[in-house]
Amino acid sequence: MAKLLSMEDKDLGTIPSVTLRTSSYTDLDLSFTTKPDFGSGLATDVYKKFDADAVKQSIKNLLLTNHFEKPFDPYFGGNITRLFFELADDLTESEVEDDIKYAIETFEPRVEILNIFATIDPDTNSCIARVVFKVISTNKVTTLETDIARLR
Amino acid sequence: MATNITSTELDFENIKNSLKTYFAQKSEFNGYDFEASGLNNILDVLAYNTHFNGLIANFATNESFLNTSQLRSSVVSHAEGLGYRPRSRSSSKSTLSLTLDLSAVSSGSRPTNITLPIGTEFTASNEQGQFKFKTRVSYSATDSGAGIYEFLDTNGEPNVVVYEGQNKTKTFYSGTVTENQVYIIPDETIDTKDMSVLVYPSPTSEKFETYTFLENAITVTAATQYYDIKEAPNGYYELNFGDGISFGKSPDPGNKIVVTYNSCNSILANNSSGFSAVNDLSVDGNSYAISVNTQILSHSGMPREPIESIRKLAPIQFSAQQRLVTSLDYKGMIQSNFPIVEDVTVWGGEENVPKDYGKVYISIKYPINTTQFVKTETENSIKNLFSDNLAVMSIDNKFIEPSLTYMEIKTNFYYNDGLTSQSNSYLETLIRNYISTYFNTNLGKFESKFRRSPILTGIDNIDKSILASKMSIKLQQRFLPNVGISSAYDIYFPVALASANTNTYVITSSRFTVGGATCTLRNTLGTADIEIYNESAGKVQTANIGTYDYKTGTISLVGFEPTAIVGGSAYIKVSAVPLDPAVISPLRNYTLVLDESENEAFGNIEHTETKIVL
Repeated sequence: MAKLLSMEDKDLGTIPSVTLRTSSYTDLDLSFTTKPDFGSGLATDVYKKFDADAVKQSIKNLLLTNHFEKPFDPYFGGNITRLFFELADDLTESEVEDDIKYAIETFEPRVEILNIFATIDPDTNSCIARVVFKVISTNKVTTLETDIARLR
Repeated sequence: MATNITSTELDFENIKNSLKTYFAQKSEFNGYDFEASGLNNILDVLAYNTHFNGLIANFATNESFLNTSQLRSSVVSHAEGLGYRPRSRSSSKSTLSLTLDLSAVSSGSRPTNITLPIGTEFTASNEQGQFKFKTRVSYSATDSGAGIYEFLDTNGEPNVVVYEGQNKTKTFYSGTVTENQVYIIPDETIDTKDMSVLVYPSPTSEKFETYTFLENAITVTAATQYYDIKEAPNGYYELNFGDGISFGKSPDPGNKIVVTYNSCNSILANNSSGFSAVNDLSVDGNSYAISVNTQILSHSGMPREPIESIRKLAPIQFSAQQRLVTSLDYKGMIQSNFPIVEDVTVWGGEENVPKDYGKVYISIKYPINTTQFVKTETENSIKNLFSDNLAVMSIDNKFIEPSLTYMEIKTNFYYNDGLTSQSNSYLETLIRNYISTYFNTNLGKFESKFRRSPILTGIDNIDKSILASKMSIKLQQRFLPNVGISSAYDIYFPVALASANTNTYVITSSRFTVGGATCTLRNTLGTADIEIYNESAGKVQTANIGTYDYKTGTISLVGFEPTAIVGGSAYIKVSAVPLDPAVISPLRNYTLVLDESENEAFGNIEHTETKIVL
């Protein structure tokens, strides 16, 4: 016995049980690497990043940006490298962690921070930051680990 | 004030938002709206680039017009296109009386004439420091018979004019003619009115040719030796010569050009005093001290012409075309050539009261403390240097002092005392001060009009408690009577006066005495006759002492003989109600100022409830 629904309610039987999930977030891959052409010789597009990868790239970008680098938005960025121009002490790691937390909470509403670890290397004026976060729209937990260092 | 071409549509945020709007319509990228995303970074670059290009285009457009240019170099360049030369610095100058005492020399050994050479140096000082002055022409003196030599100018007057500054020299060697060389003088302190340009045929030659300033040239041919100097875009000065073909002679290749100019301190050296000669004067091998008597403190030193002045005067000068025909021509000429002039107004004799055909009336406003000597010298220069050469023949100048017309202002205002914690007297003071400031800012210049409604609007906005205001206005002229002498007087007001009515007096005056009685002038109610009112006795002392013509704003007194003036001043204030108090447009040389002693304000509390019975 075939069951039919009205035209307004659509016929469930014709709707596929598997649908394409649209990505919440799409972004350009900032490495600007092009996709392989598989020997065709034709120009190909650059890679994109989706969802958690896009958000991860965004957080890395945020942490590596200092104040006054973004045009017309002087207080955008983690502004973390300023701490590496001072002598490192017992509080520097927690300062880095606070700065990372503040920057992400202020500029990246797509994630929920789960944990932040900062390990300072005073000899090289740098630190390794490890951020564990959850992408709110997908509940996917991801970890970002990046080096932050003075350029000079 | 210059206007700017707007660039608000090119703001960074607006541009970036436009790009975001575009991406919002696309499904391909949806991370654009997060400030840290890669796409957002690219949007930053795109928006910044567009913003930057937009600003450059905006700046370039601004600088393309005289009205909107912001940079001095652009304004000067536009003015040059109109044939206008912005003024350079001008040296401060002073007039000295110089004598040399050779009375100790026997009369037979004394020379008949002694010459004071060009460039004789003097020093003087003011609160800014010490400055050097020098003569620009030579002066000669003859023996008085007693061995005293007084240096005289070409008019036979003992006026030796000295100018502040020191000579500087630049030497150039002429290149090939085809290169059309321009010679740069890297100095912003030049007074271009004091320059000499000598051209030597070779570096070792002692002979030279003198080139004259183009502005002084009457006709220019291929052989005319002239130089031209103008301000360069970087603020320095550029010297150039004719093309050597049709428009002036050009120095030949290899010629040595020696430029000597005066580098001056302009306004800093004004008001210098204590002049003394740097060196003694040598006469027949002996040195004699020059005795200096300062006739006048140094004056007329001015900085380079400011941008706003160039912007205003260049078009006027262009329309005048080096001729003095209209009143605007005179104004442009005087303001561009005499920086000491603060303001000027010019009108034809046919517009004067009384009419005076064939005359041009000029009234000049000078800075406070300008001496009569400087005023006379300026007026003589206007006549001799400009109007005699450029004006229509048979037209003479007549210089008139600016005439002050005082205004008496009585302001009544209504305020809600529940909206302010301030007292009535405090608000009254605020309003008096506001009116005083308004006059200082907006009036006091020729052709500045008094408009009542903007002041009332300003008063209403002084405090939120002020609900309404009104203002009564009188004009006041002051005249110096011949005390104790019967005389006739004509008192002119710059506007038409109210016609007589039977309720209020249109004409009133301050107090004076006649035979011991305190009196005032006023018009007889309902008529245009003027009477002397005896305040002591409360009756009319003298009827029909004169009349007033409300159309021409003239009061005529006949046989007026006050005994003394009450209050210690030398003048009597005559006040009149104007025909239209909403706008007072002073004519000719009248300027409007506030009589501070007659600036009154009265506060009235206005309660919000409406009473049924008045």
